[in-house]
Amino acid sequence: MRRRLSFRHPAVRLVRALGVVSLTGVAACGDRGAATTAAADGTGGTLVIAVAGDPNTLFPPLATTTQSQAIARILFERLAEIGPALNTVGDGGFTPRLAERWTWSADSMQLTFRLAPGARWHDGAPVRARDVQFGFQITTNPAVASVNAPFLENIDSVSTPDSLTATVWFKRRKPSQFFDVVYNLDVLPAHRLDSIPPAALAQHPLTREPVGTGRFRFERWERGALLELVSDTLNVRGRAKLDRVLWKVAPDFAAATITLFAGDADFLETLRPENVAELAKSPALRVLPYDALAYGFLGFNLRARGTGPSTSRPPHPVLGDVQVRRALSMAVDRARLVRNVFDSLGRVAIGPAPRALFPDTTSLRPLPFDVAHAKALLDSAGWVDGNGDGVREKNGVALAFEIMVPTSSETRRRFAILLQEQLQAVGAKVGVDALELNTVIARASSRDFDAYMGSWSPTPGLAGIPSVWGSRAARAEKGQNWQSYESAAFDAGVTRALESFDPATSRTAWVQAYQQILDDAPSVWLYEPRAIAGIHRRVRPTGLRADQWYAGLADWQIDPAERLPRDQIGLRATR
Amino acid sequence: MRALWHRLGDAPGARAAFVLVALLIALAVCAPWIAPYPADASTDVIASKLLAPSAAHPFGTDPFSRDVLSRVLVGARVSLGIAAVAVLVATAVGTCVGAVAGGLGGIADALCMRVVDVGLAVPRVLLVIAIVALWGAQSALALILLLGGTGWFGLARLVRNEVRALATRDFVRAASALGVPRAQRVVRHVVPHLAPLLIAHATLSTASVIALEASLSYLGLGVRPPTPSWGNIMLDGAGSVGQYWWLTLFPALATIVTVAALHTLGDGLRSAFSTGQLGPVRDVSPVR
Amino acid sequence: MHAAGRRSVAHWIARRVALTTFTIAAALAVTFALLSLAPGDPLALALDSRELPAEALARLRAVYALDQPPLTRFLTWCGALLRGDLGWSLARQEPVRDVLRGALPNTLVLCGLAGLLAFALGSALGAWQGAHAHSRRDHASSLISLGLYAIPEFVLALLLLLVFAWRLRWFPAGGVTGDFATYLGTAARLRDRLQHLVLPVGTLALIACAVVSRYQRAAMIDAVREPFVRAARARGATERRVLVRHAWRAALSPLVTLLGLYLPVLVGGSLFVERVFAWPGMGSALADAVLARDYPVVLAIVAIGSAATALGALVSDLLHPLSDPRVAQA
Repeated sequence: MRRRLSFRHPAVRLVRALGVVSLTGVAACGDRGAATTAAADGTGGTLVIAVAGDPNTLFPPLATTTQSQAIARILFERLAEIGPALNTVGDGGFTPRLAERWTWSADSMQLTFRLAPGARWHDGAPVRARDVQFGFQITTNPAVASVNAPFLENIDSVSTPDSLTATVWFKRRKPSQFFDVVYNLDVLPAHRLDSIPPAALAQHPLTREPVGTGRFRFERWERGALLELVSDTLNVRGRAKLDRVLWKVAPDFAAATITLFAGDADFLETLRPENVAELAKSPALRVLPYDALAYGFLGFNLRARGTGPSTSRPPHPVLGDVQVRRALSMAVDRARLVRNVFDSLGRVAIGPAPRALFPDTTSLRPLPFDVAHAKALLDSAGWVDGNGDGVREKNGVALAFEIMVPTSSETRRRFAILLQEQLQAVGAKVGVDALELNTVIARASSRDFDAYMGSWSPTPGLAGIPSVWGSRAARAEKGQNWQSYESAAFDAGVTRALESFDPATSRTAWVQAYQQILDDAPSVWLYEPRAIAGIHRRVRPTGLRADQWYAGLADWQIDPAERLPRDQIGLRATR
Repeated sequence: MRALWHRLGDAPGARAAFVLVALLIALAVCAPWIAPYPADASTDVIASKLLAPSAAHPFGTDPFSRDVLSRVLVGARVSLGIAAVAVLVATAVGTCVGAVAGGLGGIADALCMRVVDVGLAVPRVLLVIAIVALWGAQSALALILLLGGTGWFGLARLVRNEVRALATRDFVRAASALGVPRAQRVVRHVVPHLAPLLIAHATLSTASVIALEASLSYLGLGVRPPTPSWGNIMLDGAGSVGQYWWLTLFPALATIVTVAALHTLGDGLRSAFSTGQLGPVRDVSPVR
Repeated sequence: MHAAGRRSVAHWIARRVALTTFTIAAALAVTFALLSLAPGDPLALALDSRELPAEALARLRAVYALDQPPLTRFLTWCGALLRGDLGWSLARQEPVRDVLRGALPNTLVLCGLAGLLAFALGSALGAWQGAHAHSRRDHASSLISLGLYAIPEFVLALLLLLVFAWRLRWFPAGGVTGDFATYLGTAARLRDRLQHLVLPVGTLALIACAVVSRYQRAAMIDAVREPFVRAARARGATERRVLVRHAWRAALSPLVTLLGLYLPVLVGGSLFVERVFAWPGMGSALADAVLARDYPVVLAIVAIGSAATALGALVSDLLHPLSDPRVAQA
């Protein structure tokens, strides 16, 4: 009887995993802890997030993967939070978090944070200035090897005039110095961790059961299966409105999508375009578009395939020629390709940064789609099809190259196959090398490729640009400028743009630098995905911020009228 | 041939399987001429993308607007071809190693069998996935060498045991008494008697290699695009099986029918030969 | 005979143990060689698509001793293993011991249940088919088992998932327990766990059952023709007794060999099943570890896998005489 009921009732039908069990189970949970659900004020409820991959650590200085960063960010509050416009110059738009206010010295070389007196760690201990200092010391300690350390290089030290005041001492002025501090300096619980040698921190069990400061606190983590955070009801900024958030780990993207459609999950960060139509038909789900900070491109290796980032490598026999690269760029109907892969959910990329972070797109002159021009360009550069096999050649070298693409990315795999066909039309013979992601990265960093399908997710402020497109990163041993694109003019423009305090000067410098890289065509700039989240209708989200969609998670709500059994579990008595 | 056909009549379905396999091979060979569209070129990347099966495209189209029927047909050529050549490689290596081990005995035997032990100790699926994942065996030749190179361990042991058993048989003993050298004895008298075993084993191995190649291609580690194989056609539909079912169903059916036919034929061959002078050839290891 | 026989048995066992140890050590060396020759870096995936300065990457590698030569790292790992330390997982940032503690029980439950079901049902089905060989029932059921035999694991897993989890919504789509199982009472929790077992165990068991029944059928057909079975029938034993006590018993012998040989196959197949059903077992752990070049985890799992395979072969060799009256008498 109950079984039939549970499958027919529309509100219950979707909760398939809980199915029968949930109805009996929720009743049973009453004796497992005092349920304190108060739906009247709109709090309570459970959000299940489907993700394709487990986080690897929850210790903020070591969190590098998307999943790890998201959860570490939710557990550990920042001193201040960036505004919705993602401004990184000065402190404009930033709102207080652990710090209730901050003051600058007259020369901007010291920045003093006044901590919120009521801020507490999840174990009840108060947040102190010492925790800020400790966080700085841990992050910059070479034995910890935090990837955030280089972004704190401009900080000389952190002092603690009193227990609620922390002063950051800078080495020099920079437009982004405030952003650098609050984005990369994690405030860590000194009272729990300072007895552990820094080198042992990464492997210490305490870092896997994190005690943070966020409005959600850590509950449990079953590796490879799920991770649960619950509302920190005593938080100084108010409890998280949801009772709990559960990250449900699926082995791959397709499986994650299935859990959403099956009703086991309420939220999926990015849907594939082909699932969007299907989702629109589902009565329980809706789509939630938001901006995402990523761009994808076909990146050419400008130097001959090699075994490392040495500058002595000669230019690539085919792709070292700027005319060839420009011709190939013009041969690609990018709008059509983006339509095929993303339908209306992607845009053609303008250059090495998504529009949302780009100061001025109107004055750029991108290469047009023009097959005739592309062919003419190749003819004039000496690439002609002499033997009539459909492939152009020059001095006995065929216009042929391989595109390396990771099997993990369906989007990039699709673009590669479509590009193969389009480039064939202008007489280029293109092979697609689908390799497993780790191999792709290894080959890319040893410069052993002709071309690859790349994608970067830049941070606000574009401070990472020199790390992937700057000349120094082309020559450094582990540098990520895998394509060996080197342009003094581009470097100079980027440096000027990043270091100028005057917005107008900065904007002009960006445009000059970007026009330079567009003209040099080291890549065919392909797409900027517009992220589409899939979300259950009963969930009331806040706006999704482009750099971190989860920034406002503590204010998300579940409509009290539409609660599912899993929303009614309630919280156990805390602490 | 006629005798074989006659013998196959004893095993249920073996004749039907024989015809089916012959038909599949014919289809695979003629695929480029009978496929209605080119298998690796799209028509219109926006308008004819992911069309459901219709008169124009009986098996529908894929995300790149390519005709799935044509891809399944050409895929047969790729999947069957790779499996057949890989099994040929495995059979050759396995027979040589087995014959050497069984024929020479002593240290050579012990050495070969230890290598076989190690080869069998690591599950083959894992070994193949690891190797392909690590080096990306994307060219057909590399894939053939890989599937062949990891598929001979079981056969080598089988051949070795068979050779040792045959060595005690009268006609081999007689040759030995006549002073025929050992190597010649093995090549002249023992190996020909293995032919039925090898044919049956190869047929069954082909079936399992087809399944393995499909699994690899499905993980994106097999045949490189745009060349179709049954596994990578299924991969093209993997993200949304419920919606674009034709991308999974037709290549899956092709795989199942082929593998099933090869198994039936292999079993038929096994029982057909087992009535001969060799005695039952039953101990083919499960290569699935 | 007996003193000598015992000595030779002891000798045989000692030899087997030595060979098994050698096999496992060689499998480990081969695996590590494969991993370290392969392109890739244990930290590459952990860094996602982040734009990072070269110095940060170099420092990170130094901290995890990845700048050491591969041989040094392998020997360090082996040395630690002898002290009972399995090492540290680079990709998951937890001790390898904990990785196995999470994954091993899940795979044992999955493969154990599937194997048990497959061998019980498969041998009964195969024996029944073999006893009624070439009847219409035999042909119909053999065709079905042939179809199952021919399906790659991932295809069957996907089909079951779509039909029973997605369309009919009878069973959960994946995982070992429901997400909220910790909040349930004992009975509900047990039920939840069983519901999660159905599809993954079903996939593996159906395919394994087809394999077993095909072997059992063939062995049964042979056994029925054996002289001692005909003799039993001639002595006037009931048909049922002849088939079950005499023929089936003889026909179980090849099955015992199959048991040992099938173990690695089952484990290999569970890799795909674990992937489709988000089952956090050894297969998933190994696949993730290979992709991440997390060599301490890969080595630990290969060690366990090859030990299990060798053990399977040993067990089937030991059981072989017990189940085959011909061997037992000899």
